[in-house]
Amino acid sequence: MKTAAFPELASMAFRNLGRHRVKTAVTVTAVAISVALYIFIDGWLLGMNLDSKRNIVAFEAGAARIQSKAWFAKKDELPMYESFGGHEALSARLDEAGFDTAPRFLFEGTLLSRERSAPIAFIAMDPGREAKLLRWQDYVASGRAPVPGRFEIALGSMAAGKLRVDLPARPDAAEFEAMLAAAADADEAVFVRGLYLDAPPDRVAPAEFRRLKPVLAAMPGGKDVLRAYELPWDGDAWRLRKDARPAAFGELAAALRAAGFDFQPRHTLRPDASRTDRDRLWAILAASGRMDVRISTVIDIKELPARVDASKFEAELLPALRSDDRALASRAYPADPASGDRALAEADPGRRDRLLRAMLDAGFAPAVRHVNQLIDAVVVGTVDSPNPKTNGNVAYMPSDALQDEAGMMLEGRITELLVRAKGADDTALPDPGESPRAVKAALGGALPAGLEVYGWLDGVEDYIAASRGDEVSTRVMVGLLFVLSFIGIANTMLMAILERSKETGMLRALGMTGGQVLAVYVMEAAAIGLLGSAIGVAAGCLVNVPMVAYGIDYSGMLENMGTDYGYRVVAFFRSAWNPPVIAASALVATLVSGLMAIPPTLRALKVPVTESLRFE
Amino acid sequence: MDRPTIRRGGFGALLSIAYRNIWRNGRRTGFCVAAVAIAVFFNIFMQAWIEGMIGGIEEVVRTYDMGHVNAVTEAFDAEREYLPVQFPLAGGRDWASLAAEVRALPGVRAALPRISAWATLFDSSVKHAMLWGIDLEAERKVNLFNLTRRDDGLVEGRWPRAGTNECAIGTALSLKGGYAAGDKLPLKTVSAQFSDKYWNPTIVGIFDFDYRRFDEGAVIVPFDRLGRLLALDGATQSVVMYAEDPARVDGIKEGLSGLLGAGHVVRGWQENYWVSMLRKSTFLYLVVFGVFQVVASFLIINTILMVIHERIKEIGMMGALGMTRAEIVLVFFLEAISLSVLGAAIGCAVGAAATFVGSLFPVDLELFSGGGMKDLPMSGTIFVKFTPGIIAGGFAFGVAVSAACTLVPSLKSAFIRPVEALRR
Amino acid sequence: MKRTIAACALAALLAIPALAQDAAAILAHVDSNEGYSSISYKGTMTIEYRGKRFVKTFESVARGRNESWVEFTNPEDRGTRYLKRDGRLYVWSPDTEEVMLISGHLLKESMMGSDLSYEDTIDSETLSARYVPALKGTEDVDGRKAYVLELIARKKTESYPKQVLWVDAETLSVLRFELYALSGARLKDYRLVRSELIGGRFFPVEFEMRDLLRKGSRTVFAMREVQLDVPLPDSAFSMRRLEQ
Repeated sequence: MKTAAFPELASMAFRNLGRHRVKTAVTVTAVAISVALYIFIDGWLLGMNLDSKRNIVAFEAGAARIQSKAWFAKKDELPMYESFGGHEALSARLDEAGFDTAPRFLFEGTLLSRERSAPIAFIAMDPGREAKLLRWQDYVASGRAPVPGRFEIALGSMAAGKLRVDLPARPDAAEFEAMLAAAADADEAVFVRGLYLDAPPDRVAPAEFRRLKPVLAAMPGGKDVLRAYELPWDGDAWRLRKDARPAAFGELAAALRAAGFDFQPRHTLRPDASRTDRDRLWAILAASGRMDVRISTVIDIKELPARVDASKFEAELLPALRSDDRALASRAYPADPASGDRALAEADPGRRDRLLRAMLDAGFAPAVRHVNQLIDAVVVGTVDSPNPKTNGNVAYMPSDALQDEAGMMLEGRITELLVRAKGADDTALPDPGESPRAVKAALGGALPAGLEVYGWLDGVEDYIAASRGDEVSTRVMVGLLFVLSFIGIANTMLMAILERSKETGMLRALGMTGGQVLAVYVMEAAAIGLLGSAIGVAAGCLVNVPMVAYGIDYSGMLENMGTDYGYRVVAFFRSAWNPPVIAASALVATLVSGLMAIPPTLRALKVPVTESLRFE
Repeated sequence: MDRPTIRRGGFGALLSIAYRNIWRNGRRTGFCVAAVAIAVFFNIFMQAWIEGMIGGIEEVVRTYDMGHVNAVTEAFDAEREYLPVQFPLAGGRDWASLAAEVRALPGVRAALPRISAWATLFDSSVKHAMLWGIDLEAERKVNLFNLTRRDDGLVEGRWPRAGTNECAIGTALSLKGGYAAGDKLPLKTVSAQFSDKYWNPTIVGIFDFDYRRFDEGAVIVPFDRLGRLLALDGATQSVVMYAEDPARVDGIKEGLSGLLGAGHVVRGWQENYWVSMLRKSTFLYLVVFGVFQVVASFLIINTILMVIHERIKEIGMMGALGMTRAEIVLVFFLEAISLSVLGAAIGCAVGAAATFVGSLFPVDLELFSGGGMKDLPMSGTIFVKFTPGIIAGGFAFGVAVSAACTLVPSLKSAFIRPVEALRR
Repeated sequence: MKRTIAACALAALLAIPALAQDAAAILAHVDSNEGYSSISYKGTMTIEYRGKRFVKTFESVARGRNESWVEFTNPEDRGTRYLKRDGRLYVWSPDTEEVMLISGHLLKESMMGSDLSYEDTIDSETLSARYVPALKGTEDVDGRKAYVLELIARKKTESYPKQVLWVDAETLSVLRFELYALSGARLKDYRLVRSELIGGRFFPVEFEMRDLLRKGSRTVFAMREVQLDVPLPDSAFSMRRLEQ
């Protein structure tokens, strides 16, 4: 026995496991539950965060973005006067270094449709270059993406719905009449009518549903109606199931009416309408002017004011400037001897730039000029991407149409240049080679003063806040569960060792060393952990399969929250696979389980052999 | 084993045997008790936390948003985000006369008028704020604005007096805009008659509301003064009603609807999306608690299994001495129960202490989130909820789950045949 | 003096055919026509919006382009006073009993719910200084012959980069004007409803403004008891008067 080798000790440990099968099974189950739950929760958190992060990169930010420092400092206001020119040189340089770039100009304005208006954040962009690193153009739900050189808009689907510049999903009677009137001829009118169904209501209040239930149950065909509705877990009303057959809509509506439910007839766009049909409907509605919109905005331009009123100069400007800038301003604006007003007389471009910068930093309003602008445009498509930010009050427009006075007088200026490595995988998050530092290095000294490269996580504070909160609380919870199962193992091992005090003494008497005894017990405990982990991993993965594939529907929450809840995922929270954590949780569970055997074994070993032999 | 003074086979006797038995191995008992205690503690604490969170959201909804029942006009509701003042309640009826009728509805504890309007601030880094015209005296009798400190939230100065050009702003707004008590707050707003109203109320108080949206963006002004400024002629834009019993607001809703007539939207606080969603999602947590309790019970299961194995000779003895199988099973079952009761009791004690302390000291959510999610109607802090209900519930749940789990292993003792057992 | 200048300009316009330099002369006349040395009147502002009417009345005095005073007299706004001087706009309202300076982002907002923004009212430079005019011919406006002047901003940073004016060929008063966005889209309309011969010149006493982006909205200004070029004391535009 003295020379007992590792395999012998191991087999001893494993055979011991079989001595109390039920007990072993129970302990193993505890570990398994903990491991499975941890894998599930980790996958869930990872899924949400990974999807969110991917969606930020693929729909909002790219890997890095170049913005002016002044713009970044005031980014909440989208200060378009803090734009910059000459980005083509930067793009060319980054292109050589293996980066795709997309220039964008962000501005705010009011979008006026025929019926309504809404504040919108506009993104002037280059569709071709945008497509290289952003994916929203793949998620144009209705219509198409805007084409370069035209005053065309792709509008977030939620904004499009509010402004009524989309395919009406459930038009009321008056709107439907207007749609039929929009048809150019009888053929088109028949086509439009054919795309819409007489549908049962999409929601029924719970009280009403309770009342209808017995009536419908007793009616022929009434059971179909009951089956067609569901109460979502977070819902306040019964909803028409998304998978309800459009072909049966008419019958359902008729049955509901027959059951005495009085509802406004609503035409419903066939959920099974083909892309071609939808495009044709879009074209018909667009031809009627439904998609025509106007952008009302103000072009903000930074410019040294030509004249500043005397008292305004003294009382507003000078006190707001630093002392050296104050001298600069006083020199640049000599007082008119007659009126005392200040007129700009500085010709040196360097000093003019410095003074303008100083005025803007001091928040001196006359340094920003406002030019009224009204742009006619047409909405050609709606965006409905997995990132809710693209689906809200956001409009995409080709920037080349906005370069001159008919547009935003951009003259090549942009507010940001998005950067992503060429051929980067959409499913991969930016790697260190795409970090602001790497982009800066690729630019060499070409980055002009006043510009800065920011990472993709700069400027998405809302997401970071939301995810951090969930992260901490859930992990603490699962951590506690692990503690419970480890106590379980400790208890099991304690009992096992106690029970076998006599045997332990015998083994020691026969010459087994303390270390060997310890090894046997640690291996026994670790085996429990290993078994539990194996089962837990299997169970966790099994649960994870549907969670990754389908996720949990929370579209009801979306309707109530708008698009600002931090996470960048839409309608479904999906889990993700995280192999390192799955492996690590199994490993940690096994190791810690093994460790649990150490204290009781050491205690048992302290007892003299003679005494343990006498143990009863 | 039995002391002669105790009636043989009596429940008390069995219980005392069971109880004494658990101390035969102190360490093992310690583990079992600890596990059950942790699970029960977790259950109690989590439930208190969730209740606190939901309670916090409900309280924010009831305090700031809609009271127990809220009424506005349909026209206002359609343009709610713009806070239009052109659509007063009941066709512009004077609030004073309306109030008398509204307050006379059965079950009404209080009916408060409120006006909200957007204002443009002068020369400030904060461009817009919401004027919140409320009847401060009446509000303060009903509402605690600072849900953390359980007070009206005032941290500096005093509240604006009715009818005066006084206002109070939040700490966040004062910080962001650089305003201090005693300063003027020059602003412009638009009246019901589309007149520009320039107003320069004096900041007489700074409040600290833990509902971030109000702390950052609300300017509290006297209801009557704002109404006059906005040319509302004594009318109100909305009314928030507080019921004697917050759970029963349907009657008030109906009464109020009838009183105001057509063209109004009357809602109860339970209709708030967040309130109803969170209430419905609590069952998910029950599942989690269940898992915890079951895992903790595993220890007891194992212990009982071991104990039965260990004392197989004793079982034989007990049987030989005439104890019935049921009595034997009961002894082991009671031993299991004793363990869980002991653990649950400790878990409860610790849980009660923790939730009690937690209910005194609010948890700052910014610690977790870094201060993002402003869209949730949620106060910045959570008060863990300390109630006997949760604690008793946690105890009962813990003991019940453990009992259910240990019943089967205890039954194992019944299948031991005394004669054989004695031979081992 | 002013009257003779007006007469001369009128004579000159009638005498020679419309050429490019005439556009400048017409615009100069428009500037001078509105560039009275002083004015005092009682006004009514009727705002129609979403089928509702809101009437505001006020009294106003102005001197040159840089100084003006408005005090509202309708019940709701009684006592609200505006003073423009030193390139700034001040307001005093009975709600605050204090003088406030309107500046920055506030200037972009609509004035009294009307179709004018504060910015529209604060420009103190003449049209001639800000725009290059071009005569686009003549048109008939409500039965009157009018020169059509197209004004293109001298600087691209002008709020309204283009304006079109219809100037009465006889009286040289502005019958209509339109304000355009940079894209050339029309934003605001002005239409003269009635002018009166005051002090030897035709003066617009009633006109209508429309903000074309606000559907179903228009604002009508009407003036009565108009007095032009009467001497006004400095105290009429003093901060003290504002605060009284």
